[in-house]
Amino acid sequence: MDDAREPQAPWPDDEFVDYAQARQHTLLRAAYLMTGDLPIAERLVRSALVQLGRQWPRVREEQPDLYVRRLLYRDAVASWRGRPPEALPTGPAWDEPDQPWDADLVERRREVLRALDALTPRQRAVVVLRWFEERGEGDIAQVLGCSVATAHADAVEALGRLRDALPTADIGTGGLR
Amino acid sequence: MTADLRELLELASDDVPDLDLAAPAWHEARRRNRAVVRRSALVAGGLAAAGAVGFVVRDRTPSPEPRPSVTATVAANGRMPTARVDGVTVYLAPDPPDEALLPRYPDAARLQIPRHLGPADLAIRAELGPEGGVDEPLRAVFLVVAEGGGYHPVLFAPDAPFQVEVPAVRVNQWEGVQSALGPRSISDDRHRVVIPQPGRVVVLDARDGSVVTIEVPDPTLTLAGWARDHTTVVARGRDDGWLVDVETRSVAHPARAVNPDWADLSAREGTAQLRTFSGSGTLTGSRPLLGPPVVPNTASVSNTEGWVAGGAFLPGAYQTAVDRSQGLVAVHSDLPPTPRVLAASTGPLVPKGSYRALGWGPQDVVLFESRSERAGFQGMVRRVLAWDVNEGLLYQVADVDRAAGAPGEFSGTYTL
Repeated sequence: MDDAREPQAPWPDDEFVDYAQARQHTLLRAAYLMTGDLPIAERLVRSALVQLGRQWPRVREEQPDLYVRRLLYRDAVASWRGRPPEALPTGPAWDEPDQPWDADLVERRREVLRALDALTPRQRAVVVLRWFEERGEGDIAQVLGCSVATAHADAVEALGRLRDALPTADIGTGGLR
Repeated sequence: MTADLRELLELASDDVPDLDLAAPAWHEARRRNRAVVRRSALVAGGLAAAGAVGFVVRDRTPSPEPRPSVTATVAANGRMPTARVDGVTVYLAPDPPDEALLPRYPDAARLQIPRHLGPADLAIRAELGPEGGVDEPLRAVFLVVAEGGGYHPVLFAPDAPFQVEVPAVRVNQWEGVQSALGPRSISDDRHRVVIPQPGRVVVLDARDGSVVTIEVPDPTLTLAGWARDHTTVVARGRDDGWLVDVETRSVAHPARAVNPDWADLSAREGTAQLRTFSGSGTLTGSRPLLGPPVVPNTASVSNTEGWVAGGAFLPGAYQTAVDRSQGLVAVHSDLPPTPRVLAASTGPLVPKGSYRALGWGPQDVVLFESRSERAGFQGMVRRVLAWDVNEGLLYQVADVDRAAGAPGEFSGTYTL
């Protein structure tokens, strides 16, 4: 068939792709922080984007950011079900980047990931939403489908655990009161 | 190890590769949707063949539906939700964290503003001296903290190999360093910079590094900018305005208001005014803005097409209608002066005067700075955003470097 006669897609490909490309790295990093496992994180983000793409004509003018995060974070929390603790990865699952090797840096990354492992899946999601994505508690509650009070309590509890797990880091109050 | 939690999370994930998941996801989404359509058609065909009569109404299977939110969410193309307040169109800007998700300004290369805006690391910063200057047009000027107090300018020209620090100019600003650089600090030829100091203006020519100081009999000078005639510097103190001819070094003290740009927004006797000015900075006209009252609160920027924009507080009707109290106001000086309003979100992260107009880009796009508190009282986030006042679209342009207090560090003050 002549390309010129190809029926138009109902919504331009470019728009969704531009939207998703602008967010995919942040989402992937967030998913990695939540799961500690790059293949799982990649699968979660891909799944969330596919579902977003399927609903794009309806969601594009509304709240696509909230929509995709609800899918991603809830799936990330659910992905922990059935994962035995010993399956937790201890380091990156991809080739180290072609940069000068900095053993201290790598160790610090692992230290932070191990500290995150001390949290429950939902606490971990709250930490990533609040301190990595810089979302307010109202947004966090919407994304995770819980009350604001629950989101706050999770944040407080998580911060305490992180302080214990990272005794040499000066985490402070993280803005919590 | 001393680091805030955000930095630790950044560190833990900063080597996650940037995989392209978007395009495959879109193809997969379309493939699945087509499969559903085919299955539906087969089912419908089967029912028809069986002579099914009548129809069934049932609830659609619930899918993850975005819930209504009090926060404004910008569409993927940057279109903002709007409201009408007594005939004025109000665009509802997103919460500060969502600014990072705005689409990139589509003609970013033309703006020549890098994704991360700030004075480069000391290691790649040269010094302006007698042996040479910066011949390339300046895009931005930053102030960095000087050893021993005060601030030095750092010149950024996108086509130059280095950013250039000017140790010969030391800025001491008694009324806050923020006002030392304003929207018209860089001349229209993009080679000269003017900086106000108490009792004088300092004119730096980046091409040869020459610095000229012109005395102005006003110890309260806080603003200075280039008029459109290329030779006049307009300076303002607490109570007076001054016109400085940089060629003859003469200083005039006009009785009426002065402004370096074609137009500005100002508050007079409780009414916001659109004022117009000549190329040499003198007042030529004034009209009250239409619509509910606004209170201009930052310097304005205007362009040759007649647009003027500036930060403003939004009292009364705006607060009642959209529950927002500040933002950016844009007015066209050749049309009835009904403003278009970009209303900033409210919340604990949004400080007073959060929007500051920086300049105009192409096609009626105003560039402005949005400031917000970093969650956890960990400093200020500054972003350069672009508002297309005709189309009602909002884009992100650049993240501005963090400010710090140590010598050589960025002070947070800059101009485009």
